[in-house]
Amino acid sequence: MTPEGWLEPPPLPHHYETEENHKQALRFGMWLFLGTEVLLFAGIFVGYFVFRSYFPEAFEQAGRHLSLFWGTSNTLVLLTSSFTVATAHYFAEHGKNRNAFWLLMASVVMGAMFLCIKGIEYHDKFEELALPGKFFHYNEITAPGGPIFYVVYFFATGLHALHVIVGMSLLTWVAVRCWRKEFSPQYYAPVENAGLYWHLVDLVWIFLYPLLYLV
Amino acid sequence: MASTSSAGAPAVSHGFGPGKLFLNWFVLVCLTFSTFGVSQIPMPVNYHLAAAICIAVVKLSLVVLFFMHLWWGEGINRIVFLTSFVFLLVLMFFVMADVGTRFKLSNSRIAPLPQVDQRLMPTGMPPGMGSIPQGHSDGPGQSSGKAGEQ
Amino acid sequence: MTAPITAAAGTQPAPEFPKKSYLNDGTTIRSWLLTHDHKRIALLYLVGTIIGLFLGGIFAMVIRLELLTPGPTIIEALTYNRMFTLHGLVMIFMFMIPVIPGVFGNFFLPIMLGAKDVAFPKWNLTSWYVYMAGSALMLWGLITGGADTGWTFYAPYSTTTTTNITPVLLGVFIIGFSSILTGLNFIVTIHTLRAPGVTWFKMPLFVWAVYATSIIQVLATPVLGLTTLLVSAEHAFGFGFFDPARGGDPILFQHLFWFYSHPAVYIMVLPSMGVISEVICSVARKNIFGYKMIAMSSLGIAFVGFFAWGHHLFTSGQSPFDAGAFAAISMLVGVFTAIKVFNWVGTLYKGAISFTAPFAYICGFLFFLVFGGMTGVALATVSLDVHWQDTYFVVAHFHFIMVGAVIMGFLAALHYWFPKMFGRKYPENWALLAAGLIVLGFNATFIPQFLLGNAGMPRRYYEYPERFTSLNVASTAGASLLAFGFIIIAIYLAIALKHGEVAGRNPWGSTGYEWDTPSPPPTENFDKVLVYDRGPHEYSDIPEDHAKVGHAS
Repeated sequence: MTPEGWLEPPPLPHHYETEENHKQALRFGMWLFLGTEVLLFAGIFVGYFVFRSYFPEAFEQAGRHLSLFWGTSNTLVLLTSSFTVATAHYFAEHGKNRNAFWLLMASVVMGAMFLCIKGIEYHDKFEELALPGKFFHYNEITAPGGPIFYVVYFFATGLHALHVIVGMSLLTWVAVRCWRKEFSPQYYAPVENAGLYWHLVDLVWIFLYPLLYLV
Repeated sequence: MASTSSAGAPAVSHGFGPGKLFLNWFVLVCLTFSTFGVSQIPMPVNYHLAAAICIAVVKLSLVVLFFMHLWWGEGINRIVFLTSFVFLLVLMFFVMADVGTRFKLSNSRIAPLPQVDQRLMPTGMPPGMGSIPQGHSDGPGQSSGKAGEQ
Repeated sequence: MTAPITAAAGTQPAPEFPKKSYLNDGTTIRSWLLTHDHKRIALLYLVGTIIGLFLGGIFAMVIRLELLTPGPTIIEALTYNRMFTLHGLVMIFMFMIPVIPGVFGNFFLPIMLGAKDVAFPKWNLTSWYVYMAGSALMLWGLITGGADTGWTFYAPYSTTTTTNITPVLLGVFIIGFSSILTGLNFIVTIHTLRAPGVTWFKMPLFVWAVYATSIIQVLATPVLGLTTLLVSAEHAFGFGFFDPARGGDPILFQHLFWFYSHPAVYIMVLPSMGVISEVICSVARKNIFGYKMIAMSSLGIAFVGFFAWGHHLFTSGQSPFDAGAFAAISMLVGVFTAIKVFNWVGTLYKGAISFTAPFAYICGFLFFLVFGGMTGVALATVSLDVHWQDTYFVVAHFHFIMVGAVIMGFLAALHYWFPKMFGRKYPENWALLAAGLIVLGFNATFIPQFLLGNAGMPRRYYEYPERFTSLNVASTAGASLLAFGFIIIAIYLAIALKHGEVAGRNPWGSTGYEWDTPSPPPTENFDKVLVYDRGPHEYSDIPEDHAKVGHAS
């Protein structure tokens, strides 16, 4: 434990010349990974626009049958968790591990809230049989293409929810390390990278929310 | 080289403090409500789509620049992120160009015409190449209704 | 760097095999399976990819034997369908995509940059395990589930087939992760771990090629991942995303699939081009001609390759606008490839060429690339493609690039770098014999297929009319020749591994940076601090007047 109250940073891997170099590599690697995530979701968004252009009425009708209240709440929950993660990054970078820990835990809780709300919405859809493909038996949507909308809806939100779960695990992991006071101005890359991942999860939702719920 | 000085050395610790991060969050929340508000204004659906995407892009920029520190970080990370979006748009462009200019699939379930707004399509296409027989009227809903009746 | 640049290997007294190297730094199985050393991971990849090549080769031979006679020969129709699916998937995902980046990229990229390892060694090892796990799942799914869709998984057949295709798709999805991890690792390594002195334009051309490849891997592979997920979800739950009967769009599948799978062609061929750029100046003992043009054309191919996928959809119902656009852009790939070919030929011009096995493979490579590339330009023409689509002409075209160019590059790399990787020389005469057999065998296998396709024989058919018999027999005979060549290579390399002549630091007298290390290199890659005071492909002692001679430095 250093006098400032945090653990010694782990030794520099043997193949890096400087700390700064290592930090840059970690950050750059994470950004590349986020790039792959963007392209993973690209297919879904392309599918959305293709089928929206085939079935505009079904997409409008189905969008109106999603719960605006829950959708908007979820957007706010995720935005707020993004804010707490960004602040946790700030505190970890300044060696205030305890503050970072509580903020990260708050983010994890908000992630769980997001999943609960998503669960409520899924539950409603299952009750109404507003389901993808051959499981679709929902009479409120009269225009053709309803089943396809729900394929897009469930696939997009399901893949996103999977990312929320992964992100929550990452945040929990760095929160535990914050509790052990591992981070310091010299070493905070895990908080930064887990945070970047969480922000990406938020970014995807920023697009999914208006496309699915609003238009 | 890694500077070992702790908090308070502005040269090292880039990025916003909690106050400015909170402000960023507040702007994002306002934008969320504004995109919600805009969606309630009665106007053609394509305007809604355009407005929603514009606001989403602004929100994305705020998150990426300030929460994700792209405003301060190494330039290469900006290039990486932009590139991924460029290639997303490449995929989107060619697929939508195909859907928008394709002959109608011979399938009764897709009786409503492909509804890509022709204004979004690349200009300079040879006349008649991409046009669908009945697809010239403006309102997407109307044309599809007609096609369904035929 | 003090070694004289033109020193021939023979001037040194018999070199000794280094006592300590990466090969004997830990001899337990555990020390290999848990290694973080990029060189050992490269050898792990070599094992995996050679298994892939072996399996894929056997499946190919079964297909060729079946097609020996017009009717049923040795297997049933359904088995035949499974065989070409197995052949395609194993060759592409187990062999061609990982082989050069995974083996030679892993081994040489850090050494060429003066780095001790790749940026993230643990992720590098992870990528190998992910690759092996994905391959195992894919193979298991193919053999027990009997997928018969071809490697392209075209919907709606793939989403409605009664065979169990889900494990195969998930296997491909998992292998995709490995590909992404490798690419990501290389990009970060190139950006952050270049030794002082190795500037961007002093990087060896192999590094440039792997860099371009990695960009494609990182950008394109996620889209394939999503596509396989969509297909398997649709197959399992009947979502109808790609099924026209449910309002889905099968052409959307083809767009998403080829958005990855067309650039994937360049994932396979670009590293091979990088190998050729390395080897060609070593065998010609001349500076590489047009260094910057070759480096930039790699990036150009990677970039343009992303705008060309639609030429696989010409007859699928894609719109004429897209077809025209994609046709025009596809031909640009030919421009960048031609730049490379001209520069390679320019490098050979007036060189002091030694006719070694690597050079034999370069000759094969140039022939196959030009021939395959020219037919590619022809196929990119919509009106011609309508006739050739789904015939053996297309099969022959992409085998000229995939098998011809890629395997020539692989074999050239294997022979050129064998002394560096294992510290011993291979027997040159046997190698030349095998190279001759392989180049001949390829031609004998695939030139008849061009003729068959042009005469109208469709691909993936179990039976064919009598009049195609002679050409099919010729093709099968060529394939046997090819297999024979590979067996010879396997035997002499296995013997050379243990009993080959000790190679010494630089048996080729090459000026590539990797030859400044001992062969085989020590675990930390270097036994001395290297000074990068020359370019990677410089063979002239005297600084030339660039304007007059035109050699790039």
